[in-house]
Amino acid sequence: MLAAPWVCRSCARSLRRSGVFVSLQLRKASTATQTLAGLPPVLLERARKLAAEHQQLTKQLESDYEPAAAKRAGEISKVVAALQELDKAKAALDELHGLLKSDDAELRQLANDDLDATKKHLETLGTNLSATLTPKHPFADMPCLIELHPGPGGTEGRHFADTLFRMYQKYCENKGYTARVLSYQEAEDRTPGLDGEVPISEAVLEVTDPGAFAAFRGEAGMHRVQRIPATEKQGRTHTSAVAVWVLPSFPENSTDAENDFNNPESDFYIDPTEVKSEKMRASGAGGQHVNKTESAIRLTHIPTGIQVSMQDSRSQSQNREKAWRLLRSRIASLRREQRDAQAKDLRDSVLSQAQMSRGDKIRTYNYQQDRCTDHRSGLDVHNLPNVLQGGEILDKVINSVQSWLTAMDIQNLIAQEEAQARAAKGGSDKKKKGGK
Amino acid sequence: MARIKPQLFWQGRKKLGLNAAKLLPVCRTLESTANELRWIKQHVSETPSIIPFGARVWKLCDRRGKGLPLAYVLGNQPFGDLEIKCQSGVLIPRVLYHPPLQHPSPLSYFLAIKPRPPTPTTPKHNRPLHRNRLRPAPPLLPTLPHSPFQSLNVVGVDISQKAINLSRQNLQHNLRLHRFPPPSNLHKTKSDSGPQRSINFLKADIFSPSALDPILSIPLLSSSSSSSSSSSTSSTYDTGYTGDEWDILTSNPPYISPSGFLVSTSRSVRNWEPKLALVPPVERVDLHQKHFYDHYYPDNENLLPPSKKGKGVVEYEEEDVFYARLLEIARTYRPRRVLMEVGDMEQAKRVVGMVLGDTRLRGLYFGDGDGKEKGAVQIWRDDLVGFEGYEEVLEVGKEKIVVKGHPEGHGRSVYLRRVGVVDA
Repeated sequence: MLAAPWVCRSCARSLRRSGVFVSLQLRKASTATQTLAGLPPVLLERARKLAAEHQQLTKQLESDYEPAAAKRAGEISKVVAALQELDKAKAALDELHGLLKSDDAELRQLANDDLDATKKHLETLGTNLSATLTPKHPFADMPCLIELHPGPGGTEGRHFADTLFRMYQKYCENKGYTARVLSYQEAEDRTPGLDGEVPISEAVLEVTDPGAFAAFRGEAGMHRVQRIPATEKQGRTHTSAVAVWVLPSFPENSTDAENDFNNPESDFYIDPTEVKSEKMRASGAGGQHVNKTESAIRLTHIPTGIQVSMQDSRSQSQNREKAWRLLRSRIASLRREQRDAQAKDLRDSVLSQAQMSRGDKIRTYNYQQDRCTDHRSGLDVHNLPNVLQGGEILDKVINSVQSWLTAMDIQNLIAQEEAQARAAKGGSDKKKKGGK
Repeated sequence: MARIKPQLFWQGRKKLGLNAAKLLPVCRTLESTANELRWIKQHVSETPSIIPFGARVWKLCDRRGKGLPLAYVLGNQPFGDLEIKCQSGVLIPRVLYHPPLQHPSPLSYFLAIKPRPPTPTTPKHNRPLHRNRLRPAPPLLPTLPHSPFQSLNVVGVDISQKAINLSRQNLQHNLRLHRFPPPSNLHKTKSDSGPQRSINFLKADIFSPSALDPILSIPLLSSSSSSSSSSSTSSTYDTGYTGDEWDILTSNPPYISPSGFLVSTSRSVRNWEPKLALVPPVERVDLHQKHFYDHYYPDNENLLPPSKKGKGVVEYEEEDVFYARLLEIARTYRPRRVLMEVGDMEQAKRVVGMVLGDTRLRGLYFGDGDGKEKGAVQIWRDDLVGFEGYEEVLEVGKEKIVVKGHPEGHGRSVYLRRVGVVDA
């Protein structure tokens, strides 16, 4: 193995000739696989299975109607339609390949012209199919809360939290989302940062448009900043981090039973008896005897230990309402995560790729190099001021994360299918060792 | 009170500025100082003035630093959905008052203040709701939120002209802010559609026998024509009152004893808030005590346990005098529901004792204790919200009384529901 990080291609060739083994990691421009229309076989297999099921269901429905079966058939009909179209396109491609081998030069020419278009068409159909097969995130249609918590490391992280907060605010403005500030708590320490940053200890932004959760879900994680802080006297670059949580928010007036927080089945449901609300209690006299100006409220969900405190407004009822909203969102997201973790256990037998959790750094903002890197999609962009203004460059980054998330979702789905298939086989063939 | 460490002043000054040093003696902690300073600044920036920002903040901090309650300094206090104006000389509304309004959706739980739903059997549907707040009370009268109160006539009674004036200002203020649906008696246009409501304020001393006559003479806007025998002003106890029925009688009377005022109230309450609204005047106590004994405890010996003063002497404290009068009014006018704020659990028990001790009130609100024709005599604690299922049973005398709300809350109000009235 060579210690050198990079060896030019001709040197590598000569080295290989001389018998030295070099594991060359050649980067390829395209990562599309060779399988049909970029579709992994498992996904295709699943689609075929679903198609078979659909056929059976329609046959069954012809003889006697059953609501449950009809619903299922309706659900998978989209997949079946997509698959049929794909098959048709594939047949067309095969035909073109056949024509390419023909003796007629004119025909060959025509086939060649068509080939590219058909291939492209096939590819879009493939993505379509995988999109229909990918499960939709259950909270995708909801508004969301974006919570910013500066990481450990003092004022610098708090300053940057303020910048991120403004970045999301402006991004929402540019994209036409309605955002409102649910909580904005300045830290006790008031040293001003770069460009008038104020150190904050916590901030919550609510984006009230439906579907905001899907748009912002990729933003959750640790955001790292590398720059020379305003407080730094010797010009050293510091690295600090800000945690961003994206939580689904309960829409204010919703008729959807699943998202009704009074419905015990819902993720948002909290048993009020499990919540301890701290304020003035039986200690001493109340009522007319006292008049407290403190309107702060602190809610503790006893089973999970999640604590929410809110003291923004002078009105206690407003504080209470906000606190409950935040608590509901946090608990719903926790419940969702727990469920995801269960699904992950199943997947992990196949897929070793680390699931994104809150702990991993997801993005770096480097001021000196004027660069913003997303570590998941691998996108590297410059023009940092535009990113921090919530401009089109930030949009580009967020979109890249979106497509990465979709890809991950599909991959996870496939892994799950495989795991299920293996479980169905009864675990006859053991897992291969040291695969990845 | 613990001494504030000097270093806290230094920290406050460094982190929050010079104003913090003013507020710190009142707020005690840095956190609450930061909050109050933020609210003051917010208030100043929201109200335009020619005086510079810094000077105004400084002045308000100075006044707050002298111990004046923040509500007086800023001139308002948020209360539920409403913004209540406050001024020196009128009691500040407490958030703990009115457990109904703490609920995020007052409609779902508090039925108690819902007008009776229209019933097809009686032609007298859509009956107006009288809501009376009696005697020195914070200017909270129009604090009822929207929907369940679409069709009620509200009469607010207070002895203090200041409070009455402020109540009117508050009504106008909240109408301007569109936080309160406008009553029909303020509309000059005769919109016949939509619910009919009226809000009136009245300066009166509820202890004077003729105090309530003006209430009866206030014309009702509702079209309940069937209540023809309206104001017969036959306000004696013995002949039953035959005028319009009141849906609810509610009051936050002064309930602190003179000794308790010196001991158990907090400093800002003692120094700045009107004593008239907190402590019943002593001359009333003397005047009413005899009357009280005569009326409420003719056969009470077997009901209340003998106190240490001797057998048959009922427990009665001088701060309870308003409840005696309120119950007297309830006896006469027989409101469907009565909701009275009380100081603590002991006082609540005494008030319940008064109700149970009077045969007429007992018949009206307690009934025979079970069966279909059941009224309600209940004690509500501070926290009703989210604790709907929580109920305790407390023995007062021989009877079992339901106590609702968070098990650790103070006894905060006494609720009576007339026999035969059903909470929707």
